[in-house]
Amino acid sequence: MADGSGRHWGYELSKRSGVRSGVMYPVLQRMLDEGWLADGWEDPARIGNAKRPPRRYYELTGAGKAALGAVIADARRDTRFVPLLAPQIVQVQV
Amino acid sequence: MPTLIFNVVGWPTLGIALLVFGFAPGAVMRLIILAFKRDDPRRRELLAELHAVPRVERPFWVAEQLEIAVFEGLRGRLATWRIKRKIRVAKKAAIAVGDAASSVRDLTTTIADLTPSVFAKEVAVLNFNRQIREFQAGVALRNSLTDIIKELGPEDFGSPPSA
Repeated sequence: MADGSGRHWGYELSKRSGVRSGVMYPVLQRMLDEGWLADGWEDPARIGNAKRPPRRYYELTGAGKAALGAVIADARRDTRFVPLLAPQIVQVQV
Repeated sequence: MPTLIFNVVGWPTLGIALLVFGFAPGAVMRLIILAFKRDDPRRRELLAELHAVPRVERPFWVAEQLEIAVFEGLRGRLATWRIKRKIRVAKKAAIAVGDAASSVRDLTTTIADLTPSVFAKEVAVLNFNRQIREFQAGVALRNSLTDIIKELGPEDFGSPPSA
């Protein structure tokens, strides 16, 4: 979620965040339910010759950006989380 | 931790697990996603994501999906089954109530059909009995009065008041 714009896949998000996929997918589902994320399916035309089914992508909604921005702002104020926050996370578009 | 796993699992089990999850992750994945409901997009998503996972990581990734499928897919299915069961019970109850209502309706109709005649008969009988009683009482009164009058003489009535 460091990149507030664009489309992301579940596995990619799991690798980039270091969160296990067993945790990531339920979290993504909850964020979808909250309206923080929108989902869709990859355009088959863009897959090209790769023999794989289209993947499901997630993108942040306006509400999601606002909510995550607020969460990160709260985390920045909390001294316990400062060492955990990478510089790029702070750049989430709000 | 690895020592513990090896002690508990053993090499043959580990070998089978690696064989199944390592060489046939797609087939195992297709079995795992059956835990999700038929219309759950997670089915398609996990199958598609499998292709993005490096082969080395696939056994572990598939094993993680098994965890999700058990805790989320089966729970969803259980919830659906409970709802379906409630609907089934409600339908049975509705049918039972419908049958009961139908029975009551039939009974009411029958009673309604019978009531006027039965009621009329009852009323007629009651009226007749009352009339009989009244008639008998009237006859008895008249007879009594007649007898009394017969026993009385003109003197009993006294002389008419003088003007």
